[in-house]
Formats: sequence, C-alpha cells, structure tokens
Amino acid sequence: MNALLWLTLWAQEPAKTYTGSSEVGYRVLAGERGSFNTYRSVVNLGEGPRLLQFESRYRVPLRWLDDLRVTGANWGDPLNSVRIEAEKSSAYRAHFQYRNLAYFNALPSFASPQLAKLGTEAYTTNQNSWDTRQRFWNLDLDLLPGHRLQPFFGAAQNTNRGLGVSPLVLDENSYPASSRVDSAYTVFRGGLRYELDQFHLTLEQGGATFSDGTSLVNTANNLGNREAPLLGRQLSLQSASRLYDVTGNHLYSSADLTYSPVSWLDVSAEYYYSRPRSEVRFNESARGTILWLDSLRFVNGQQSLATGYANQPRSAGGLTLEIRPFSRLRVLEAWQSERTHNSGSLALVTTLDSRALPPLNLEDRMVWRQNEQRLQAFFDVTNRFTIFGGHRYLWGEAEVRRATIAPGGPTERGQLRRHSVLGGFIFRPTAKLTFNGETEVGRGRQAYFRTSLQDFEQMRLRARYQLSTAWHLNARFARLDNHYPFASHNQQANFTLQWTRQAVSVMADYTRSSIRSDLSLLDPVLYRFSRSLYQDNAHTGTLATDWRLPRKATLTLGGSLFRSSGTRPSRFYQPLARLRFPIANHASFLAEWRQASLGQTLYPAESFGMHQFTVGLRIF
Amino acid sequence: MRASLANFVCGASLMLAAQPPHTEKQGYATTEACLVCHEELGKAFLKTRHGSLETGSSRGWKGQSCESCHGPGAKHGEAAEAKFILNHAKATPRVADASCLGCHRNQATHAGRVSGSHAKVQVACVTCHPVHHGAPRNDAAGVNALCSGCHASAWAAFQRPHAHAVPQGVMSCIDCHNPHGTSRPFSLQSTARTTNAEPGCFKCHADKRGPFAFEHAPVRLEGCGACHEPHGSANPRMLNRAEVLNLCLECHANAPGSRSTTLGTVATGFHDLRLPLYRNCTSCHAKIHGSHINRDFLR
Repeated sequence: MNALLWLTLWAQEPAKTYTGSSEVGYRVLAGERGSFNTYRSVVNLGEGPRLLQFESRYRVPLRWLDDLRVTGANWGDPLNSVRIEAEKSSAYRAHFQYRNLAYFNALPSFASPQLAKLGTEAYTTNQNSWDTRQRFWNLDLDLLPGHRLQPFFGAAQNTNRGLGVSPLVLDENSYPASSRVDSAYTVFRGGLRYELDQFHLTLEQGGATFSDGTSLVNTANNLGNREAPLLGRQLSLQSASRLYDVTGNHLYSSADLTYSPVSWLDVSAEYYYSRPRSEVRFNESARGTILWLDSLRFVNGQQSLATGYANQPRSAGGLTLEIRPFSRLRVLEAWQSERTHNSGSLALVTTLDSRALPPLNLEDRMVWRQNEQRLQAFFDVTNRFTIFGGHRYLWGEAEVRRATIAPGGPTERGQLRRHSVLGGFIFRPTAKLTFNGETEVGRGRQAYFRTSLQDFEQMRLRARYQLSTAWHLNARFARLDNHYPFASHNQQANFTLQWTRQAVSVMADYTRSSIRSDLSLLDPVLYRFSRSLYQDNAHTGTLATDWRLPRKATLTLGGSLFRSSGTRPSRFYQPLARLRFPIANHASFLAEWRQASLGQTLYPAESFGMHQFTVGLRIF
Repeated sequence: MRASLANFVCGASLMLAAQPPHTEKQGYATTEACLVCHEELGKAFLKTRHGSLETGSSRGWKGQSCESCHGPGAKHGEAAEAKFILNHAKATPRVADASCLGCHRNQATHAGRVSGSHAKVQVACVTCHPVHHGAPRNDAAGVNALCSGCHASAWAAFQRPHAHAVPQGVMSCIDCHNPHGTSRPFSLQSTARTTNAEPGCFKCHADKRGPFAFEHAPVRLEGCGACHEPHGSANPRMLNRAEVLNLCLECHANAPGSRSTTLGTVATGFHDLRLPLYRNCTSCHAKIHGSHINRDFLR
C-alpha cells in the first residue's frame, strides 16, 4: 500500500515544468517640485514603459540541463539586474549575475563650495558630480556539485564609464572642469574543492587586470572657487587638460580548510596571498593666471608629466578552533593575522612657462601588520539558557607617510593595542520567545586613529516573541560608547510588529537612532581650540499593510519615513499605495502611486518632491 | 612518492567517506512509512536538492531521506506522537543544527561558520532554509525580505536618502554579507570564493582598490566603514557623518589625542575653516581613497 503510494507520487511528478511571471508597466512622473538634480541623485526613476520584474523557472530533464531559473528587475529603469541560474544535477551549477546602475550624483550641498556665495547659481558648476554607468557581471561555474572533488571557475567584471565634473586643483584655487571616467576591473579565477564528511579543502587561484583612465578638460575662462584677487591678481584658468592612465594586474592565491578530526573538535584555517601592482602615466597642462606657491610667483602655463608604480603584497591567514569538550560547553579560539606592504614611486617633471623644473622623485611606503586573538566560551546552563564570555586582543603596528606639513620625519608609526572583554546570553523561555544580549568592553593603550575604538563599551539586546500565529514582536537595542579621545556614542532602538490575519497583514517598524560625537580641534588659522560637535537624531519608520479585497484584489498601503535633527536635519518620505486585481486567470492589473519627498532644512534648495504613478500588467 | 601520496589521499577519502548503512540501524522506518501521513511535505521535498537523498545511494539514505534529518522514525510512526521525532522548528538550535551539520559541516559554504555571528547567537539553519520547500528565494527581493525579518534596524537604515540599491531589489544583503559567517567583522564577504581575501566592497568599487603610490591609511587599516555608512546615510556619499568637514576633522584635528602614537592628527593645513570653500574637504582632496600622483590626494 505504502509502496504504491510512493510510486504514485513519483508518477505524479511531471516530466517538465515551467513557472514564470512578468510584470510590465508604464510610469508617469508628476508634481515635480524642488531640485530635479537631487531627485535624480536620490531616486532616479524616470518615465516610460518598464519591465518591472520577471521570473521564470524551467525544469526539464535534458541531457545538459535540468533546472533553469531567470530573474530580473527594473528593466528600463536606471537600476536593473538579471540573474540566471542553470543546473544539471551532479554535473554542473552555473550562476550569472548582471547589474547596471546609473550613478547620477549632483548634490550641491556636497559638491559645490560656492553654495554660500552664489546661492542657486552654484548648482550649475557642481564639483565632483557624476553621471556614469556602473556595470557589474559575475559568472560562477561549479562542476560536479555534490561530488567529493569539485572544480570551479569564475569570471567577473566591473566597469564605470561616463561623464562628470571634477576639480582641477592648482595652488590656492580649484577649477571645476568636465571629466570623463573609464575604469574596468576584470578577474578570472579557478580552483578545486575537495569535500569529505570530516574534511574540506578549497584551493583558489585568480588573476585580475584593471585600468582606470580619467580625462579632464577645461576650455572656457574659469575663475574657479576663488573670486577674490590674490596678491593683487585674479587667478583664472583659460584652458586645461589632464589625462590619467592607470593600468595594473593582480594575482592571488588562497586556501580554505575545515577539518573535524573528532566529534568534539572543528578546525578552520585560511590563507590568502596577493600581489597587486599598478602603473600610472599622467599628463596635465594648464594655461591661465596661475600662482606657483613654491616660489610665490605667477605663471601663465604649467605642465606636469609623471610616471609611477605601486606594489602591494598582502598576506593574511587565520586559524579557528571550535572545541566541544562537553555537550553543554563550546569553546572558540581564533587567531587572525594580516601583513600588508605598499610601496610606490613617482617621477614627476613640471614645466612652468616652458622652463622645466628639476625632476622630482617621490617614494612612499606603508607597512601594516595586524593580529587578533579571540577566545570565547559558550555554556548551556539549561537547554533554554546559554551564557557566553570571552576575551579579544587586537594588536598591530603601522608605518605610514607623515602629512606634508607635519613636523618630524617622513614617516610616522602607529600602534594598536586593545583588550576587550566579551559577554552575553541567549535565553529561550519558550520556543516562541527569545532574548539575547551581548556586550563588549574594550580598554586599550594605543589606537591607530582618533576615531578608532579604544576605550569603549558596546551592547546589544534583542527580544523576539511570537505571541500567536498572527502576532510577531521584535525589539532591539544597541549602544556604542567610545571615550577616546572624547566621548561619543551611537545608539539605536528598534521595534517591529507583524500582525497577520486572513484579510489583512501589517508590518510596522520604528527605529530611533542617535549619534553624538564631540571632538576638539585646533583651528589652523586662529590657532585656538574649537569644538567639532556632531549630532544626528533620527526617527525611521516603515509600514506595509496588505488588504485582501473582494474578487481577489489586494491593496497595499505603507511606505517609509525618515526624519533627522542635529547637524544636518533631513526629512525623507516615501509613501506608497498599490492596488492589484485579477482581470483573467493568469493576469492581474496593477496601479501604483509612490511619492518621494526630501527636505533639507539647512539646504532648502536641495529639497525635492515627486509623485510616481505606475500602471501595469502582471502575467503569471 | 607520487603513488604513495595518491594512495594516502584515496585511503583517507574512503576512510572518511565511509558511513554505516542506516537501514541496519534499529528504530528506522522508511520514507514510504513517513508519506502515509506527510504526503504533501514529501512531494515538496522531492523537488528540492535534498530530494536526491531519496534516490541516490552516495549518502547512504536511499529510501530513508526523511529520517536522514529527523532521526529514526519507527517509534514515531507506531505511536503517532510528535515527541518521538526530531522537529527542527521546535528543537533548540543546537540540536536542530547538529542534524544539518552532520552532512554540511565541512563544506566550502560553511568555512567561516564557526566565526559567524549567526552561529554565535544560535540562529538555526532552518530559520532561513525551508528544507521541505527548497532553497529560499534567492533573487534580491526574496533575500532582502528574509534578512530584514530579523535585521529590521539595518532595513531602516536603507530608508535614508542615500543608500545602496537594496530596497529597489537590485542588490541583496548577501552581495555584501555571508550569512554563514566569515572571519571578517559583520560576516562581510570577500573578493574571492575563499574567506580571507580582500573586503568585498572592492568587487563593485574596484577603482578604490589601488594599489596607490600614495595610500590613505584608514582605507587599509580600518576599512571602508571608517568613513562610510554602507546601509544608508543622510550624506550623498554615504559618509557616517552628514557633513564632510565633521568626518575629516575627527582625525585631522591638529590636536593630538591622549595617545602619542595616533596617526594623522596633524594637517588641516592653513585652511580657514569658516570659508565655504574649505567645508567640503573632498572638493579639492578628490582622490581621498588614494592617489597615484599626489601625496595630498589633490589629483
């Protein structure tokens, strides 16, 4: 009887299945207010026909394929992606991913230092603004999945191409000029996995090439960011060009190993070695009224030619042991170590008014060694209550170039010595209720930077409760206090509620976060201490409600809001309403309204608002 | 020498791969018996990758795939009581994971498991992996919905004006994080398939990778997170301070900290910080991630 049932099940399994859906629509923008450039920088969704999303899965017992899955989103929009997965059981598994992101960024509050002087006019000469395309694809092919020995191959490419505005910085002035960006990074890799029940080894070898060519051109009279005369003369740029040509390559070798020699011990080890190298050729010429600060004289023409290279060998390794001497005790011991050495050299020739200055040879190096040792023990006091504690020691040293104007030798050395104590608990009074918390208290003698964690305390608390099949509650609190060299804190409290009924479901989330950093600095002009007080108090809320209406129609209402006060008060609202109703057995109609609205109290000209209306059809 | 090495590898493989025939163990029923009551689950399970356990003999669970995870089911079948079978949803994570790790412990995917935060706070495998119904949705929207169910505060950060394209469904959480764990903080992905390569940020931001003749030390020593808030920020460049000036001055303050070895404390130059010209440091120091030409990152 049972055997018969089992065979029936197999017989019911169709030889091939196809499932899929696609959603097409047309979007209209309306109610535009404020800065359209900011809208494009933040939201960047345009008008017109769109393939909003698609998904298809084809399961067919072919000789070379038994499962093909294709998913994608936002075709026609500036942010689109596609993902293809193909698989033949026990033969291969392939995964391809493609992303195409339009990177448009022209935000005056960040980009233009002329904002305060020229008001809205400054927006026409943004600096560091971009209108580029970032494309990324990745292909991974695993052979013989599920077998002990699995070769794998992969390739990936990342490109960034487009136009922008970049500053050409000369002594005592900087001039916005049009620029062209063209960078590409391509990597090929391959390796072998050997997997047994108690042992696993992955060996990987990869190689990459990269290129980065940025050109910059200025053809019109350009006064730059300094309009006031300097030493009685007005600085200006009549023409300029810059060509950056960076090429490089990168080889790496790596290995991962896990081993469980006995039931109470897991060993994990890893090693990575790489040696990237880059070469640069640089040509910059400028004509105008230019101040040469070294000799405090004005010149009409300047040209710089440079060639250089950089090497950066890096090795990193780690070893982790998980020891379970008793069923209730788990001990974790981990070591990590990393060594990086960067060396660079540059030969620079500068010509002023057709007279060459003595060639300049610059060298630079950075050496960094860092290690971490961590010991943690987890003890199950009962089946429902676990406590853990441990110790982390982080130490290292770095030798870097000293800032140009800093007193002392050409390099400075930084050291890192930090001990911290870890502790926490996991408590599950019932299967539906969970509390967990952890804390880390660090005290150190040395840190690399003023902002580094040194004397700090951080804690996280979380509670999850499934009140019933309909109600889910989740609360989280996190706080980080760092006292080095002055007090700063970062705090987040979050509360989530989910309520699901047959006719309606609600997911509401509220987060309160605050950052406060209060540092003193020596004003370089007035030569007195002043405070750099930074505060950010933010409220973020998201709401998603789904209403099931008669005739299988659904209504979604919700959206998100973000409000912050402090150093840079901002408001960002994204309400949403979406209605779907079936119009045939395998088709439904979609109507959607969204709004995006940004308000900047200190930069009102950067605010925007925009309504987006979309109608579409979903076929499944 | 080569032959002896091959013999050693083959011998070790056979020794480690050898498993006792489960059918000979006492207390086991068969999948047929399970399907009498759990037909729907069985049908769904067959369509998953784990379904090959039922028909393949390489793992030794042919005809007993249900019990490969749930343990011996004969007593459960006879008594028809839930207490005689392992239910992963109700078991403690340690017990539930033990059955998953019985097969998956030593796999490349889990090379960083021991160091991962999910293992630390006992997030069970079945929290994310609905084993009876195949892999979780692995398109970006599906992954993001799954992760944000617990990491709501991270999802909230993506609602800020400037964020990675995660809410739009173009990127997913696992593009940057490996939920199975890595040796990096926050289980960050790396550039290679192995776990200890360079930070995964460089996979998409390859132009920031260098090497540069003149490196900006924090990029290497503390990583991208020293200056950037990757989940979302009020700053257009996703800096962890809304104003550029605040961020840079926290290190370059001309006021050495209490520790004499702190790097980069000098150097706001002679800029008059009251002027708007000097309030966006990266307007001039445009190559702040590192420069091939200029040691002050001006070009």
